Amino acid sequence: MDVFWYCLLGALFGVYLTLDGTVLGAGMLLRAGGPGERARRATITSFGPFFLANEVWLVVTVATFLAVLPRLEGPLFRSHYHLVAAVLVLWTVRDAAVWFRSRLERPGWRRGWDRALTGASGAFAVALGLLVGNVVTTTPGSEPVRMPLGWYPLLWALTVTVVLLVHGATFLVVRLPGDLIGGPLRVVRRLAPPAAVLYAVLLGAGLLTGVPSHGTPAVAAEATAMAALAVSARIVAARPRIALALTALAAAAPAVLVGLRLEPAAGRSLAVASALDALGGFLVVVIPLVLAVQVWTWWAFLRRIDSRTPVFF
Amino acid sequence: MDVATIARLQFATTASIHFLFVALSLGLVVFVIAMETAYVVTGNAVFERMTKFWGRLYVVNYGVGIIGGIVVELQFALNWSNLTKGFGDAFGGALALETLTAFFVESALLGAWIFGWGVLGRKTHLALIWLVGVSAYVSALWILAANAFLQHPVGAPDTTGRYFAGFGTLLRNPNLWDAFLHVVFASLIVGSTFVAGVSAWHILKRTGEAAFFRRSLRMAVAVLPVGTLATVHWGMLQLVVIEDTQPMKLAVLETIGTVETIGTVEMSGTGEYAPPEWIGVAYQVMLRTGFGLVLLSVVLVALLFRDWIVRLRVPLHVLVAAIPIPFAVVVAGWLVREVGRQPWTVYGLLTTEQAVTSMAPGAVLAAFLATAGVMLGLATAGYWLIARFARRGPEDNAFGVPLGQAEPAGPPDTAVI
Ligand code: HDD
Ligand code: HEM
Ligand code: HEM
Repeated sequence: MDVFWYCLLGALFGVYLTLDGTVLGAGMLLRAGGPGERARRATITSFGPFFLANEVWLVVTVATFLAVLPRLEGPLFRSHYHLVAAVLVLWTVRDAAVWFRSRLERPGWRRGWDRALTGASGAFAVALGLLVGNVVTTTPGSEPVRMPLGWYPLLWALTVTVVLLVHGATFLVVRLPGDLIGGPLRVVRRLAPPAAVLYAVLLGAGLLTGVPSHGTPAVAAEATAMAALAVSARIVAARPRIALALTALAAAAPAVLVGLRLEPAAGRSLAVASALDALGGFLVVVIPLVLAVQVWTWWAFLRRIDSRTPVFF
Repeated sequence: MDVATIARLQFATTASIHFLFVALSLGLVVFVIAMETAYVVTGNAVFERMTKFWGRLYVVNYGVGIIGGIVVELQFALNWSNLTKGFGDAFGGALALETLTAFFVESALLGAWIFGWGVLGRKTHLALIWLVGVSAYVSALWILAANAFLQHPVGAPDTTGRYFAGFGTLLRNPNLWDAFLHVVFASLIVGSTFVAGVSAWHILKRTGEAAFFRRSLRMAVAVLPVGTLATVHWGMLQLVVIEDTQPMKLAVLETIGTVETIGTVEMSGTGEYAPPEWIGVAYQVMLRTGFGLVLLSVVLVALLFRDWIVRLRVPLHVLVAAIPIPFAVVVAGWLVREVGRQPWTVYGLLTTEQAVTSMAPGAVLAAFLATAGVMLGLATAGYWLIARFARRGPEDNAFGVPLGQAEPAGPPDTAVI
């Protein structure tokens, strides 16, 4: 039964990375569609209908974490206080940029929020990467990490950023109008191979130095991510949706490593059985419902943008 | 400053800002739902324009509400780890269910509602806003269930000594339902004063949309007394509950008896404790404004007769001036409830000092300044935008235009619109 809760938490975080990864990637690539307002507006519209539904997965992850592992969340967040606080602030800035940018017609206003969107998305990706790297190398509950910038976390920061660039670009290839996909296509083709190499380096580093990202599932996750990236670079033009499914795997891979790292401590921190049973009873009903709603949104809106698509953000 | 003080200040500022936006969301969504329903049922295009005008204000407001909610939520994990450690089993489930049952659905459907104008069928589109509204209220219920647990910890330690309360127990908390209904109707006051005030402004300024805003005004003024009477009713009922569960709070609110006598009678063994006395002032503000609003709302409804409300003009000026009042009262009410809970975080079981994460004050202060600063900035920008859109009046492209008509392609700095 415990395994169910670990898998649920891992799945929530992994889905978050995959979904909001498209927004972070597209945010960094705001200028990749081409020059001009139309390209930017189309880029933002590409993730617009899903924007809220994507980020909510992280809210849900945090809240479910609190309910399922009430004794682990505090120590974990305390150890990484600085990074979590940074992520929080970047998150608010990113959201504000999406929300406010197109509300006024003034060019200066839009340019300012465009910069905020690109900057905050990039910094958000870096901070997520640092967080993954630090969580994987720190015992939860140890003293707050003051300088979260060791070589291994930095390697993760680079990997997560590049992978999300590839993932976001693939998403744009799926969504943008045909005349705007040239830029994102180039990004996928150029960056997917280095992203695969970065995962290979992480895998090697894990095996050689014994940073806790070893063990079969970790190796499997990293190897899958590598293969997925390599394949997606080749098929992105012909089969963008399949490529997107593959980059999604690469984006979600960190969740596996984080989960493995936290599992031993999690065993000692689980909420009391009666609390979990009560929550589980609700989840049996709630999860299918929620999935149905989310899948419906994707089904209703995941087609290529054209000149008739309404824009709002 | 010590960590506890900073963390409390952070929670107080960010939660208050969050709630300002939430209250308007909860109140405004009722009107948006009513308008879109009227549109789909009657097919009258006026209602469509009304839905779009008020709907855009709702959506801008909602965005800031969400950002604030994220900031508030993460504070539980960051700053209040001893609360989650000791009582996460009991009330963590309510927070989790809030996000799972409500936000999850709400956020997916709101995105579809915004981008679904002209894309989805009318009835599907209408169903979306209904579901968004219902899940907003469900989320309010769960979050208040969590808060009610802090006010009055129902449940008990289980055999392993860990504190637990099932969902049924959480939902039967006597501290929950009166508070929930009080919040719901207070939000309705916020929403209807907003709609009425903005409409009154347009009528006064003769912005050329007289029929549109007269209709909105009448709708809001008709709803207002429901809000005020119900809010006062459940406010009074809250006092009864507090008398049972938090006598010290009531002592400070009404200064019945002296703080000392009630303190020693009630909690012998836990020592002296009392919330700060200044919440009595916040309480008086809420109480008197509440009665004032009841009076005002009843008079305004009477003035709907033969359109006196518009012909006399004075009521319109009053309505414009009244827009900010409920917002202020709502913050006062939360100060009463939350500061009145002091010195406890979980009433009678865990003090605020014990609940806070042990961290270096510097880090907590930096996080406080950063989050509070960003939220203040966002709230200001949000209200500025809302005021702007409110002044502009109804526009056909409130929910964007098709991409093809939106913007000409061109070099980055020349493209405007
Ligand atoms: C427009 C808003 C508004 C108005 C007119 C009133 N209130 Fe209120 N009040 C709130 C908005 C509010 C609130 C912000 O929504 C609070 C904060 C927490 C809660 O449950 O509701 C609140 C809290 C609150 C509390 C604290 C509950 C606690 O500590 O557990 C009491 C005792 C009252 N109210 C009583 C009243 C009475 C007797 C009123 C009438 C005359 C009144 N309120 C008018
Ligand atoms: C202080 C504790 C609170 C926390 C931790 C919290 C958390 C949150 C979070 C995380 C969101 C964003 C959800 C998303 O991403 O979709 C949110 C939005 C929302 N919250 Fe809160 N919230 C709190 C207080 C309240 C209260 C007291 C109410 C109502 C009575 C409320 C009602 C809402 C509603 C209706 C929304 C939807 C957004 C909006 O309408 O503005 N919240 N909250
Ligand atoms: C959005 C509406 C809310 C507002 C405006 C609000 C306001 C406040 C204020 C003013 C304080 C500071 C009290 C003090 O230190 O003297 C506070 C503290 C706190 N509130 Fe709320 N609150 C809200 C909702 C909630 C909810 C729904 C919860 C629980 C789920 C909650 C949990 C807490 C906690 C844990 C603290 C910090 C510990 C403490 O001071 O006891 N609040 N809140």
